[in-house]
Amino acid sequence: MSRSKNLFEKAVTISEDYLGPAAERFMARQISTHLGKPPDLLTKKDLSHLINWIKPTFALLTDNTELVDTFVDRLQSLSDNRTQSEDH
Amino acid sequence: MRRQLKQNQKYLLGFIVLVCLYAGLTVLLPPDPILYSRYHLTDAGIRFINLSFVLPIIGIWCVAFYGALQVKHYALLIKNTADGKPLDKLADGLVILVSSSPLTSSLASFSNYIGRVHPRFQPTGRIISNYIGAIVIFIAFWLISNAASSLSGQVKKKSSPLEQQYWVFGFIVLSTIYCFLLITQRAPSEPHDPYFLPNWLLLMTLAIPYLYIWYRGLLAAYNLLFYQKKVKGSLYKQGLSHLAKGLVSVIAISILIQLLTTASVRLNRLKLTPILIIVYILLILYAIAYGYIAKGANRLKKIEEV
Repeated sequence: MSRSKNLFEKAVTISEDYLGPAAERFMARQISTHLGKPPDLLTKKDLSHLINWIKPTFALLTDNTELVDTFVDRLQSLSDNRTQSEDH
Repeated sequence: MRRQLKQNQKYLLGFIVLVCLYAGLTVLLPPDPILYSRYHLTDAGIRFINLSFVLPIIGIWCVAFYGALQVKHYALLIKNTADGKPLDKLADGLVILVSSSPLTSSLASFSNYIGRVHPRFQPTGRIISNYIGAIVIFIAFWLISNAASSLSGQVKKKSSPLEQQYWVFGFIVLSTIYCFLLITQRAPSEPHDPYFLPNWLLLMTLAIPYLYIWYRGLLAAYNLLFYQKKVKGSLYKQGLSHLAKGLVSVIAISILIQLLTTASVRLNRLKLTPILIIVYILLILYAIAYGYIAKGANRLKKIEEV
C-alpha cells in the first residue's frame, strides 16, 4: 500500500517540473479517469497503460515534442527501476 | 459550483447594465456646446465621433471582461486548492477593476451633463464621481493585492532586499511625480478642473488614498511576478507568465490613466486628433493586457481540463 503511494508521489514529483502546483491534480485525474482507481493505488504494472494515456493528453498542453518525450521517459523510468537523474 | 456560476452571471449582468448605461448616456445626452466651437463640428459630427468612440471602447471593455471571467472560471476549476482561493479573489478584483471603467465613465458623463444644465452642481458632481472612482479602484486593487500576497506566500523562497529597494525607489519617484502634477497641472478656476477641491483637501483625500491604492497595485504586481518566477512547472509558468504580465500591465495602465487625469486641463487644450490618439493607444494597451490575462487563464484552464 505504502509502495503504491510512493509511486504516485514520485509521478507527481516528476510532473511538478512541468505542471507546478497543478501536477498532483493532473496525475490524480489521469489515474482515476483512465485506470479507474484511486491515485494512491497506482502500481508499476499500471504505469505503461497510464503513460499511453498521458502522452497524448500532455501533448495537448505543448507543441514541444521533446518536452513530451522527456516527461514520458521520466515517468517510464519509474517502472524501469532507473533513477530519475539518469533520465533527466 | 452552481452558486459560483450564478455569481458569474451576476457579474456579467452587472457589467452589461454598466456598459448600456455608459452607451446610453454618451449617445443620448446632448453634447457639450463648447465642443461645437472648439472643434468646429456640427451636432451630428459630435454624435458620430462619440459613436465611433463608444463602440471600440465597449469592444475593449468586453475583451477585458472576458479576460477577467476566464481567470474566474480557472479559479472555479481549482477552488478547493491552495492557489484556488487567492486566484478567485484576484478574479473578483479584476472583475471590479474592469467594471470600474464603465462605472466611472458613466458617472463622469452624467456629472458633466448635470454641470452643463445646472452649473452650480458641477463641482459637487465631479467631486462625488472622483471619490466613487477612487473607492471602486481601491476595492479592486485591495483584492488583487491580497490575492497576490497569498500566492507569493506559497513559494518558500524570499525576495532579495535589493529587489525590494528598487520597487520602493520606483514608488517614491512615482509618488513625487504624481503630487507634482496634481498641484502644478490643475487650474482650479477653470470649469474643466478635474477636482474642484482646495490643494490641501485634494492631497489629503484623493492623492494619499490614490498613492496607497497604487502602492497596493505595485505590491500586487511585484508579488505576482515573484510568484511566477519562483513557482515550479515549465508549462504552468508559461500560462502564469501571460497572466502575470497582463495583470502587471493592467495595473500600470490604471496608474497611467490616473496620472493623465491630473494633466486633463492641459490635455483638454489639445486638438481632437492627439486626444483621440492618446485615448486609443491607452485602450489598445488595455485590450492587449486583458488579452494576455485571458490567454494565460485559458492555458492554465487547459491543464485542469485535460
